[in-house]
Amino acid sequence: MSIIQMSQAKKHYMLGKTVVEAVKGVDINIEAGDFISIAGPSGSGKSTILNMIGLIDNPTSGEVFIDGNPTASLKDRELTDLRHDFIGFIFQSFNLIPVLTVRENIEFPLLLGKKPKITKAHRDWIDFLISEVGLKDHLAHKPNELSGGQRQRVAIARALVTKPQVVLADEPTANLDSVTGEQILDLMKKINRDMNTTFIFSTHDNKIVELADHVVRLKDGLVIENTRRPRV
Amino acid sequence: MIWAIAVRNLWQHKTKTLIIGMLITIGITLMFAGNALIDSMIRNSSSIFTDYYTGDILVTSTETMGAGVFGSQSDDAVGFPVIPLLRDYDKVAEKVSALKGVKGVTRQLSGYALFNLSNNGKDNDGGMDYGLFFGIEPDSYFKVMNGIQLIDGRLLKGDEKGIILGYQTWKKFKDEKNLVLKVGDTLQLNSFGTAGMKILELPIVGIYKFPKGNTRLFQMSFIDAQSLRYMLGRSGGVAEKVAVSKDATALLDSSADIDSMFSDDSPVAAKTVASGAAKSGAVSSSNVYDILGDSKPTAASAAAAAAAAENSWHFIVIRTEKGVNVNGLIKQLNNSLDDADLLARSQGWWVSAMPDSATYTGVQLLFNVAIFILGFVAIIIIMNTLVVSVMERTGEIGTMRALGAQKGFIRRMFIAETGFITLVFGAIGLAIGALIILALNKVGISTDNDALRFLGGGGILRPTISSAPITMSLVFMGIVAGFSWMYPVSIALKVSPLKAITTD
Repeated sequence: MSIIQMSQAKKHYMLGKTVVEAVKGVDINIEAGDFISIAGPSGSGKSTILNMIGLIDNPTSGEVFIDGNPTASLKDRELTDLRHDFIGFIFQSFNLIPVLTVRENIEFPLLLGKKPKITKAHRDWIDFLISEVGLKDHLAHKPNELSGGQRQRVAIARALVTKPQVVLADEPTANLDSVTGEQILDLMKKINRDMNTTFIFSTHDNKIVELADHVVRLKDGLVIENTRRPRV
Repeated sequence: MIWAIAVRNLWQHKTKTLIIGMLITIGITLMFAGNALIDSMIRNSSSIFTDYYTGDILVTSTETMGAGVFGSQSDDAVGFPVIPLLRDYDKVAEKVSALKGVKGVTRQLSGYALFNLSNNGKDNDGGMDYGLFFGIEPDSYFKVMNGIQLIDGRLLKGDEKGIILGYQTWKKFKDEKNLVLKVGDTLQLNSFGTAGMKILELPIVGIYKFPKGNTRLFQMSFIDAQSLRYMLGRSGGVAEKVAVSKDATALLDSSADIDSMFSDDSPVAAKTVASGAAKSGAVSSSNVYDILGDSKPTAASAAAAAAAAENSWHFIVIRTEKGVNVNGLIKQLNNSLDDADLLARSQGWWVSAMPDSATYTGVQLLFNVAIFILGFVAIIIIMNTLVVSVMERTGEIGTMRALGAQKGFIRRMFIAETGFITLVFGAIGLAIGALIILALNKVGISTDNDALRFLGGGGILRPTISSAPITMSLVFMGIVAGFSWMYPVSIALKVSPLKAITTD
């Protein structure tokens, strides 16, 4: 069973009095452990699709299934819980909480759940993540004291702290230099392989597309390519 | 974590925090210091009234609304306040004597009369001037209400007739009428109420003042109760033994030709012609009862009237022991008076000191209305500043929502921010207000301005901090914090998780 399924998902926006069809009926199945790249030029609808998968935007019509369950009729509270428990986010602009330290930013999602408490198991997991993303020496730093690459590493650790089944990454390398971008991609690939976490990217970056084992190409709100490659 | 985010956000936006904080500090300082000052003024006034004028509890008739120790709301024909006498005085007094926690009881009359300064035996035509009088039973009164300070002379004793002139009245006569009165001089009092014209001369026994008070209150003079009863027409026909000069009584002299005072075409004269005695010509005090068809008072009826007059009192003044719950005692006494169907009620100083006391409450009300207007303005400014803050943080709020923060978390985060800022700067405001009050307490506030002396109770005001201003300030802080977050938070709650992607 697909971990995420989009069925005839459409998204229309009103731009003044004009209806903009950002996504025109998309069917995508994403399997657990996929390292999937949703690629396409600007305006092709990739970010909109990522937002719908991430439950931060609703399809105008069609349905998004998460772990086999439809989401269109869920209330805000249920959608929020599902986002918290099931999905991790990595943003193009990192989106760290500016007043929190590296460690606090990573811990932050744990304090948003139904049991907002940090246990020893949580602490061990956070320590492991910090070690994995190589930020041991920057725990007390605030985001504005870190480089772009370091910030994105914090964002990756934060996305993984709740052990989500799916991580959504919106152009994660767009604001990074090529070397740092590659390091970040390697890190995400490693986590994908080690933890079987599903990674879904929206990207222009060919390196990500090359690294992906599932590629969805979009053009003008429609899927023009949906190919799977054997896992490397 | 919420508190950490709230505090660090406030720290990060120092300028905004300081603007909001200063507004809160100013508001709380004004509210706290102002209310502490007014509260102290009221307490000062309360002690002045209870010590010198109203006692802790005043028992009065229920036959008119709002009878205070200075008079009631209703006036007589010439505009002087009418105060009904206590009916069934003995029974009322019996209920009072049954009370526990009472230190002393006395009784009094209050009334207004005119000083006739033309007939003062001196080469001076001062005209008329009105005065407020407490008619007292000196022995019990000065034992219970012992704050009086004699400037000259002595207190009244036993059944002695006389006047203890208020210093302010004495000074007023001296300054405005060029009339320097001294102990031993006589003063003529006139009244023209519904009881008819009354004239009385009383010797000045003493001149007094109270340690604290204001010009208006200092104008009150003490006279013996029987003399005031006579002036108020409450003497029950008891013959007056006070000497009145011939000049003053010339109008009432029976040898005067009363007929000559009326012309033949006077309707009054025409009416009296019906009497046989009148037909014969002269009307005099000896035949006036015949003319009116009434009988002369007998010795028995005169004695009964005298006895009734001795129990004619407007008020029973009660001083309580220290620490006694005065309001509880008032309630207990009122229940007991009601149960016995007596037309009397007991009341505390505030009601008894009407209308003066209402002024204090009015001033406090006006002040707090002004503060609440300031508070409203502060809420609007704080609200706007927080809205700007929310707008600047939509990306952050969107990120939190995307990561799984429920709306309640966002709400709590902003409440924590407004709560923290209100608490910290409110506490600073309270501290500054307390310092101002402590400084004023050390220095003391005194003024020669009559209006301010009236408000402050008189004397040197040393304001202190009581629980009421603290409570009011905390309520004010709660209102500011409570209202100022509502609108910004409603905006924050509308921030979609999409803002995490679309901002920056």
